Amino acid sequence: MTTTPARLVVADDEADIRKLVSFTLRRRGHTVLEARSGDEAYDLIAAEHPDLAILDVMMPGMTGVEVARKLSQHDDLAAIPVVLLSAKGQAREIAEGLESGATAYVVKPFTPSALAQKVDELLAESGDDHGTAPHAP
Amino acid sequence: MWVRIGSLGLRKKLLGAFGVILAITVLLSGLSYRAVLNNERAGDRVIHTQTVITDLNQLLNTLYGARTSYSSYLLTGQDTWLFSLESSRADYDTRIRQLRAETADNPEQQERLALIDTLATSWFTETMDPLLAQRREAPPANPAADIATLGAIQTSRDQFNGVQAFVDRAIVMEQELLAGRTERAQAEDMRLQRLLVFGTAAAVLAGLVLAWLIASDIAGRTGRLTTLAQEISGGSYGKRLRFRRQDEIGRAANAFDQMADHLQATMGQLEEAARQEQAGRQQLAAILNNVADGIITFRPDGTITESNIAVERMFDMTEDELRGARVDDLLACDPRGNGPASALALILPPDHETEGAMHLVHGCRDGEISFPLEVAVSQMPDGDGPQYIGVMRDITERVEAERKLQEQYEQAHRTRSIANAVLDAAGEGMILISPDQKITAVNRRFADMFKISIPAVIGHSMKEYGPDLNKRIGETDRFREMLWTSVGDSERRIEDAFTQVWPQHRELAMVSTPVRTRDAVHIGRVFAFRDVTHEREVDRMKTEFVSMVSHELRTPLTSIKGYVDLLLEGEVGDLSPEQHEFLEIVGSNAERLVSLINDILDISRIEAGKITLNLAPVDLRALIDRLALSFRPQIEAKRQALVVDIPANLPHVRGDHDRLVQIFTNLISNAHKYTPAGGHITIRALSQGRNVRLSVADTGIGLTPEERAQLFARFYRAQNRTTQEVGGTGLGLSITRSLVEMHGGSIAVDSTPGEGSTFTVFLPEVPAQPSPLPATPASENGARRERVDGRILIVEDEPDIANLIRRYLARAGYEVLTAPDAATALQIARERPLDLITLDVILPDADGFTLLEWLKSDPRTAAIPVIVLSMIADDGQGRTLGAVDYLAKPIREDALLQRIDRLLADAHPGTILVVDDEPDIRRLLAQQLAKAGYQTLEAGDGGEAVRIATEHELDAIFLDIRMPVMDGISALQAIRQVRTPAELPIIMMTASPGMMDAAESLVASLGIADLLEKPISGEELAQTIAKNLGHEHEVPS
Repeated sequence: MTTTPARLVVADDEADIRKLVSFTLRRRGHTVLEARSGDEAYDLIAAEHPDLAILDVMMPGMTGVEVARKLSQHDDLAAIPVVLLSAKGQAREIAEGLESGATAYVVKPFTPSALAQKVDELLAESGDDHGTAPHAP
Repeated sequence: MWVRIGSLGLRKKLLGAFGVILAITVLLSGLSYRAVLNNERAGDRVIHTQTVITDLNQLLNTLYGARTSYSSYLLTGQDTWLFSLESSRADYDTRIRQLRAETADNPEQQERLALIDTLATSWFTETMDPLLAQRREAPPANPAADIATLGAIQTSRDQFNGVQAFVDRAIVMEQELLAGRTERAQAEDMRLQRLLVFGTAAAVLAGLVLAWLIASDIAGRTGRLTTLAQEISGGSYGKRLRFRRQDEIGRAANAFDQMADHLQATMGQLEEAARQEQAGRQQLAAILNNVADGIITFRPDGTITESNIAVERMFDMTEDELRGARVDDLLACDPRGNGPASALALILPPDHETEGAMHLVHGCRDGEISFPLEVAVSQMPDGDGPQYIGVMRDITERVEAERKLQEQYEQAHRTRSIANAVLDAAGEGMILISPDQKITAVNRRFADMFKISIPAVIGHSMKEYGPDLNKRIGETDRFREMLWTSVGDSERRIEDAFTQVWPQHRELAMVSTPVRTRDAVHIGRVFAFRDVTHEREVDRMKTEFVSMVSHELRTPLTSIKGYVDLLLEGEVGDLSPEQHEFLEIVGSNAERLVSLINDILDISRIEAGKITLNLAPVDLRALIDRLALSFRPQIEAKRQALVVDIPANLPHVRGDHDRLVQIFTNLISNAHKYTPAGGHITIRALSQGRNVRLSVADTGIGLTPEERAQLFARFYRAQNRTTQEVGGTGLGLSITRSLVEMHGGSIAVDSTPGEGSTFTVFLPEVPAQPSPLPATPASENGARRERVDGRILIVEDEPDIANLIRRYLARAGYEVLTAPDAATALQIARERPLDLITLDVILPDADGFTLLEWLKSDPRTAAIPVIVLSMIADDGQGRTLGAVDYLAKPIREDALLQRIDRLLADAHPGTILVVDDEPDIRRLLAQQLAKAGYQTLEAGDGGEAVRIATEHELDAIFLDIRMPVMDGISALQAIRQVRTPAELPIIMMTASPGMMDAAESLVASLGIADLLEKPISGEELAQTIAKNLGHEHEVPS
């Protein structure tokens, strides 16, 4: 699978998982910026304007959902696709996550390759919307 | 008649008999007399007739004499003859007169005599007299020779002969009369004789018969009288004569019978009196001997004269021993008492007033005080010398019973104290209310809980106290209603929950049960309130804890699984086969842990009642088809056969789609796991009663009865040789059963070890007809509708109406969005997946029909069903533009929900393109699909089909192979340029079998979902739709 390299933010307070996600995405050629908390993630995203952000929900400080909500309320940042990662997989929890403005919700545990694929799809879609990246079916 | 005669007296009867004989005799005499008279008269007549005959003969003789005299005179002229003639004629006159007198009673003879007289007189006067006168004047010379004389003689003779002839006739006539009369007289004689003979005989016979009858009657009855008299004197009083005839004997018999009656009655009374006296004596004896009380008679000095059996038993003495014993031998005063030492002195009544008073003494056996005894003494009525009668009763049992009663009373008192203590110590506040709504009991906890004073409420009616209690409960109305409706209910156990607001906030769980006495009399209802504030809190904490723990477990698992996956995918370098295998083991165990966590979460949510089902009609057939498809890879990997046999017309079930998927995933997964390679899994479904019965049968290892019994228990897994290779949490079936039961269904298992198991699930059907909603829908408490999934956009500029519709739909469980104008509506419809749009016709920026056109022309929104809501009652335009339904305002809640439910539930819409150059075939197919609930588009050739497929969001295409301009294969290839097989299933159709073969080779290469041979049956169509539209959802892109 070939994808356009992108700049991504990955936020998780669990170092192992952060590393797992980062590793997987870097293997696919993306540039990954890591954050260890919600607040750190928000600051990083606000500073870096990445192509996409992957946020763990249960983090100290702001949760992933709160970060996503805050991003969606910010005109500059609202367009950045957000993937929420969470161990909470109940329908209500997923719905709550998505209502915050997140684009996708991935339940832990996940298969790294599947997550990477999801990220690629979202990047491709956002590329479409902005008309910056050509998309072949 | 006989009875009347029979009732006559005997004398009268005899008189009667003689009277009869006398009457016969008199009758006979009369008859004889009359006969004699008759005879006499007959004789007279005969004599008379003979006289007449004689007179006639004499008359003739006279006439003859006259003729002779006349002739002689004529011949002789002698006057002697003349004299003789004169004499004869005088004689004749006499005789004829006499005759006429004699025959006065015979008119015939009279007539004849008159004729004779005329002839004779004519003869005398006209013949004789003129000639005689002539002769006398001129007598002939020779008369004898005188011819005139001779002639006169001749004439005279002729005339005489004429008269004679008449006379002779008269004689003959008289003779005939005589003969007849004689004969009659003789006959009369004969009759008289016979009458006399027979009459006499009859009289004699009658007399004899009467005499015999009377004699035998008298003899018979007197005989019976005698016999009865003998019997009675012999002592037998039963018989009676009962003669009916009341003659002298009858009356005697009556008198005799009465005497016998009297005799019998007297004898009977005597016997009865004797019997009664005997019985009375026996009864008295029996009474005396059977009364439990001992009875004695004794003299003033205490010597016992008589006693009954009870006394013998009481004191264990014989009758003989008792007779002559003394009262003080038997009775003793209480040694501790301060009354007289002698029992006799105590019990002897000093005067009449104390007579019969009860005394408590002791009975003695063998001189020892041995039992309590009660005695009453009175003086005997009479007899020789003063005597007393004493009635005694052994009161051991009564004393014992009194003691026991006292003990029981104390016991009850203790029990009550304990019960009260327990009730007061109980953690639940309890109140007992009688059916007439009186508060009969309240425990301390209740008083504390609600801060009331027990004495202030006990005995009070709920009417008085109710309001005071109600204000302590948050849901006042509901609480009051519950109390009023339940108090009189003697059957139900009621559980409920309330919130207390004063004096303290509490969550209360209430249980109410009827209270009945031992003989099932309903005496009220106990309401027990338990403070569950803390429990609820603990529950919440537990759920949170489980949720947190599962999160905490997932995090490390995410790492494990993630890194293992990376390694397995070769991201960090190649692995040796062992490394690969071992990492796979780590990975699959991590997955097992994940599913365990999921199951535990499910269980805890089920326990906490936190799972809410989103109930809607579900097509099990489609659901199972999709599931079967997703299982296919692993089933095929194990070389198992999966057969799905579900009828196309299977009714939908009411259920939560996702939970049903969970249920059947679990069952199919189990079947797959526990069935060896090469086995069969069969899924069958049918409608049974009001349920759909769906069974999953496998040819697996099966279950023993013991295993079956515990199958649905948590953490249970079939213990057998294959367990090792079977992963699982052991929670699946427990969860499955809970979920099925939450659906109002049931699950059962049937199994034979070694042969296989069949799990059968029963789920409630949705009635075939869309049932109208309840008349009073969500507005009332309790009548809540089942939730239906779906997101609905309300396009409506009037905020009030929008709110109203929103409330209706939200209450029915739909997710509701609103748009005040067409632009907003279009934007929402393009951005958010919608299940339905309700559309107002008049909008501020564009009219509803324009919006409808926009929606239908945009592929992203074209498939969304639209219901037009309008003031204008004309649905023509809306329908033309593609609205699926039309409702006139004002909107009725039930009508709206009914339409929406039907649209969203029974007919989940999808859009299908039908491509065929034959308009009839195309239309038929489109109609069938529309009936199945799909929206349809039609195209007449391949080119059009490609255009539509590119522009519209389609769910499937039915594509004819042979078409003019651009054929099906070309169209297929063109469509595949823009839509993958997964995105858009294409079903090819052909009418020619030859084409089938050719086309089949293309199926694989072109990604055809199905190939159908025309004509296509409804069944085939339904199967194809179910299969392919399922396919679309199941296979991820």
